[in-house]
This record gives sequence, C-alpha cells and structure tokens, in this order.
Amino acid sequence: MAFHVQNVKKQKTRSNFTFNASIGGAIPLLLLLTLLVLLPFVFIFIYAITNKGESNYIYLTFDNFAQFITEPNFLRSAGMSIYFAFIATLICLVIGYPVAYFIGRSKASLRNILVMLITIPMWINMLLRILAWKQIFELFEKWMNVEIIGTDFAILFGMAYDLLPFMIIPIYTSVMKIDPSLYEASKDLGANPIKTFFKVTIPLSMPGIISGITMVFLPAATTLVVTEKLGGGKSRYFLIGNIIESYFIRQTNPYVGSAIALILSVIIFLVIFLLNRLDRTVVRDRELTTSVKKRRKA
Amino acid sequence: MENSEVLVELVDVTKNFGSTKVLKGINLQIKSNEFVTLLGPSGCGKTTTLRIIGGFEYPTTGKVIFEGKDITDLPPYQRSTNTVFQSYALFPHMDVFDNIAFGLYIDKKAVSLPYPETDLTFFEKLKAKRFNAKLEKYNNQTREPASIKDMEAKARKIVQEKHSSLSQAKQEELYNSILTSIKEEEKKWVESKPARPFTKAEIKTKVESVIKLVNLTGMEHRNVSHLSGGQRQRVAIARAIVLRPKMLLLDESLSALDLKLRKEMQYELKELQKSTGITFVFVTHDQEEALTMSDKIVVMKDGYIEQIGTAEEIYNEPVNRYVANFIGDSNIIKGEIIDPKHVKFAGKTFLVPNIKFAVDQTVDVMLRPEDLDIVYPSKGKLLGVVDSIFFKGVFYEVDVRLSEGSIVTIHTTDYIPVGKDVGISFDTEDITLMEEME
Repeated sequence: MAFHVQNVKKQKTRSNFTFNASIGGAIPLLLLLTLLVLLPFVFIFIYAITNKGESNYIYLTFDNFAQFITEPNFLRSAGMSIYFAFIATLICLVIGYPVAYFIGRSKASLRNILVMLITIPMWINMLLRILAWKQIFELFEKWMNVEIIGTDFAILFGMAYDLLPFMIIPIYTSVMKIDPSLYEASKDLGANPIKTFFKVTIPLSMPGIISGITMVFLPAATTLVVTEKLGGGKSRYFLIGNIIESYFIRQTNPYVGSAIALILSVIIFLVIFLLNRLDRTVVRDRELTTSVKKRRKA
Repeated sequence: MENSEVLVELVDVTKNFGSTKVLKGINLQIKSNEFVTLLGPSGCGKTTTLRIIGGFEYPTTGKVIFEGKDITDLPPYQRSTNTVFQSYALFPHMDVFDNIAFGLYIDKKAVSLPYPETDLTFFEKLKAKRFNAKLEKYNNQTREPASIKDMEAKARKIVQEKHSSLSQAKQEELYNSILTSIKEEEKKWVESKPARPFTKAEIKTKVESVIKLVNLTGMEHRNVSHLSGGQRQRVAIARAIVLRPKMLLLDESLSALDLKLRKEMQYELKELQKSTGITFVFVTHDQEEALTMSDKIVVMKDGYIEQIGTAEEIYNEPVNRYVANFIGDSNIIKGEIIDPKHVKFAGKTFLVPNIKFAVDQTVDVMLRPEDLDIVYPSKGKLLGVVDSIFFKGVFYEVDVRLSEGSIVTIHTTDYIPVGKDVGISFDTEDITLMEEME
C-alpha cells in the first residue's frame, strides 16, 4: 500500500507542466488515499514510538521496537509466519499455475464460466469458509481417528484454500495476453511443447506469477483467522498476525502492537520491492515500455 | 532451378473446420530451390495449405510428403520447414539477437562435429572432452551407412541361404520382416551418432552473419517492440533462415508494410531466395507481388487449385475467367468455335490457329486491355463508341461500348473524347480462348 502512495507522488512531479488538467482531477483520489492509507500509517507510527505512563501521560520511546527484538517469541513467530506463507505460496503456485494456464488458453465462453467458478467461493465470508473447514476436519477426525486440526497440514490447507484464487487470477490474465502465434513460432523454431513452456510461456507470464506470489504471500504471512481456527490453540501456530491482534484487543496495548505492525510493514515493503525488481529483470522493460506508451497516448 | 527434385508434395489434401470445407482436394508439388507463390483471395485456403505444410494444421484426409517421406503427422518442431508469420510473432521478452538465436539455442542435437578448441564457455569445456572422445569412437567404427539397395540385398541373401526350402509366399513374408528389422537397426545406428548443441561462439557467428544478410547490423540488442514493421519482418526472416531450413514458408508477410517498403522487400526476398538456395513458399492475395517474385504461381479459389504455372503462363494463358480476372485486367467476351481454325465473338469471326476446343463449343475469349489499340473505325476489327475515359498516370483507361452492347476496356496513351466512334484493333495471336465457367 505504501507503494500506491509513492506512485501518486511520482506522477505529481512528472506532470508539472499540465498542473490544472491532471492534478485537478486527481485531487479527490489523492484526498481519499491520504485518508485511507496515510492516516492509519501516521497513527500506527505515533503509537509505535509512544507508550502510556503510570498516571496516564503519554511519552516518547523506542522500547516497543526493542521489545520486539529482545523477545524471542516475537522473532520465532515472525519466522514461522514467513515459513508458512512461503510454503502456502509454493502450494498455490504449483496448483494455481496449471489451472490458470488452462483457463487462460481456453475459449472465451468456457473461460468466463471457469473464472466465475474460481471466484464463487470468495462470495462467502472468509471466516465462514474457514469455520466450515474446521467442522469438516472435525468430522474426519472422528471418523478416521486422526489429528488434523492443529497440524501444519491444516494451517497450510487453510492458507492455500483461501488464497488460491489470488494466485490463479493474475496468472490467468497474463497467460491470456500471450499471443498464440508465439507458441506456434516457438514450435516452428524447433522447440517441443516442454521447451516452449519454459522458454516462452513462463517468461511471458512472469508478471502474473510475481503479482500472484505477492497477493498470496502477504495475506498468508499476516493471517489470523486460519491460524486461530485451524491451529488448535497451539503456540506453534500463534503467528505474527495473532500477536498483533492480541496486543491490540486482548491486552489493550496498541503501542507494542503498532511497533510490530510497523516492522511487518517494512518487511512487506522490502518483499514487494524485491519482487518488483525481479519482475523487471526477468521480463526486461516490456511492461515498462507498454506503460510508457499508454502514458504517451493519454 | 537446375536442381529439380520434388521437395514437398501434397496428395489429395482436404481440410474441414467443423462443417466448412476449406480445402477440397489439393495436389501440389514444390521443387527444391523454387520460389512458389500461393495466390488467391482471402478465404480461398492458401494460408491453410501453408499451415498444413508447416505442421500447424493436420489435413482431414490426404498426405504431405517431404523428400519422399510421409510427414503428415509430424509436429512443426520435427519438420525442416520454418515459417515467417503474418504478425511476425517475435518474442517480446527477447531482444533482436535472442529472437534470432532462439532456434539455434533450442536445438540440443544440432551438429555432429567435435567441439572447437577455442572460444568455449566453462560448461562447454566440461562437456567437450567427453563428447569429442565419444564422437571419435563412433567415427572410428569401420561401418558406412548402408543404402536401401544394400539392405535389400542383405535381406534377400539371408532368406535364400537359410530358408530356401520354404514356399514362395512364406519366403516373401520372411524377407519383408527381415528387411524391416535391418532397416530399424540401421536407423538406430545412424541415430546413435553423437550430436551436440551449438556453442555460444558458434551461435554468435551465425546470428551475426544472418543479421548482416538482412541488414539489421547495429540493432542486435534492440527490444523488438521498438522496431519498425520492416525491421520486425527482417528479424522474423532472419530467425527462420538462420536455421537453414529446406523450406521457408511466408504467410502474407509483406501485407503489413507500406507500398514502398513492400516493393523493396519483394526484391530483397527474391535475392535472399537466390543467395540462400532455400525453397520459398509465399502466400499472398496481391497478384503483382506474385508476378514479381515467383518462379511458380499457384492460383487458388474456394479450396481448389485453379492453375499452376510460371508468371508468364498464368498471365498469358489463364485457364479460365477467374484466373484471368484475378491476374491483371482483362476483357472477357463470350465466343463460339466455328471450325478448328475460327472463333466467333462480338459478331465477327477471327482466325485463331491451334484451337484446343471442339467445334460449336462456347468459350470465354480474353483480350488484355494493353493488347488492344484504338484506331479509325475503317481500320478496326471491332467497332464501338467511347463510353468513358479515366486518366491512370501511365495510360488512359478507355471503356468502349461495342456495337453489340458489351463493354471493352482499353489501355492507351492517347486521349479520346467520350462519344467518339472508334475502331479496335489487335493481333489475332493476342486472343486467348478459355474454358467457360459455369
């Protein structure tokens, strides 16, 4: 989200000469973004560097950050969050790519139906879906006498199930955009279907893969519903999202919670930044040039 | 054209897309080193024919034979043809160099030569020693590739020596099975010849030489989306010919270019075909393009081939009204064969030697506008009144209404006012008789 703000700022400096035309129209959007994105950030930042004293006076401090680094539980949770998010993202990619590829290359009529089928689960509230899975798992536990809830499997299943559409949709969009004659050209030049896939399809769908990874990894790393409902109350599954939640709601200590949230934001920002760099080096300036063209046209 | 062996042959090829019949029986031979053009209006099946040769479509019935082998079911990546697509289909994620090197890079069994001593990357050095030893071992085998005749003789010998007591039919059966196993063994042996991919340095030399050939020097590392239409086309051609295909298929490759560039590319393509010796099969709907470039023109209509011939043959002796109208301007008048030497049209009888049609048959008579001259009515073979006149640059296009009603178009350099009585004269050898179309 920090990224959006940055982009807006960039555009502001770029269109210096046509101030009235482009900035005038963008003012409502800028206000909205300031309100929705910047303001919460400012509050979180203020909370993060303050604390409440004994007689209810508020003072400036960096203890909240220090607590994060010194408390081993926090670091462990952050590590576990990243670990689970990483595996869930990998699962989503392995399952999602073939599905997205199939949808992207099918005929328009079939494609619309398939995209709808993929998005239908998202019409139902996420909490309800996870609770439904909890009950299904409980049924299985009774029948087969196995432990499901409170295992890595349940957590990863919940994350992957919940976030799979976010992997499929960007990839399918980028696969759909690939000109089919490129596949023919590749075959014509001697590449069999496997080589064509690795030399043409994968590189050209890289923008979709990168945004899919971003859209799965980040929510997975900060989830609290999945871990709370399918974690079986085990401390192993008390991840960074749950810690923030507990500081804010259970312990009513928004100061440390804000500090953790801020650190998480910085980590997320770095991840997005690195992914974007990767995207640019992999697909060269293809996307860049199209956006430049669009801007010129506009 | 010295080398006139048949490179590719289509035998009774038909193609249906659902219930629409796109090709209705194509028989076509293309020889090595020819520039062949498939010419016809859109929807006539010319592109489908090309795609069948390239392997992108499989014929519904019929066969595709390449150098004597049936390749009907082979996918494109196993065929020694390359295609220049109408939209060029350049890879947007690669620069000019990588686009051209794509095919060279993909082929892991490109050459059966030892690795060169110099210019090797680290990984190539690792592989070089083992590969060179393997290849040397293979080459030191005292065996020569056997010809089909040798193999047949060998099989025959085995049958006669060991099974001469069997009946004739049994012997024949045995002979066939022995021959196939010998052939398979031979094939395995030939295929076991070690092959390696091109080295980085080899790819670089090849790509650079082809870049020079298509005049793209200095653009090696341009992004393909920054190239002009003509440059993209050059990349597409370079990407295909760098693989040294036996046949290059060009699908309406010039139609996206502007007129001047197209003319330039026509000559360049023709030159390229001559210098590389690759057979070109070119698809176009532009008759002028076809006439300029081709050794052989295949005129198509509605999934059939109407006529195959050189540019001169197609222009001077079209088989019917359709071909005559498609290539160049023409006047077509209904005529009737009076006797083996005379044909009657526009109310007059003309002497035409060597008539191939039966007496009393009705035919289409074709007169090219540039073969007709406007003269004084007293000297004219046909008489009429000028109906309209248009200035076309090099000539005037004059429409003359003949006395019996039909209109004849004439190309002349003289201005003749509308409404004037004129005569039309022509040499009788310019009269072309064609079979009537229904």
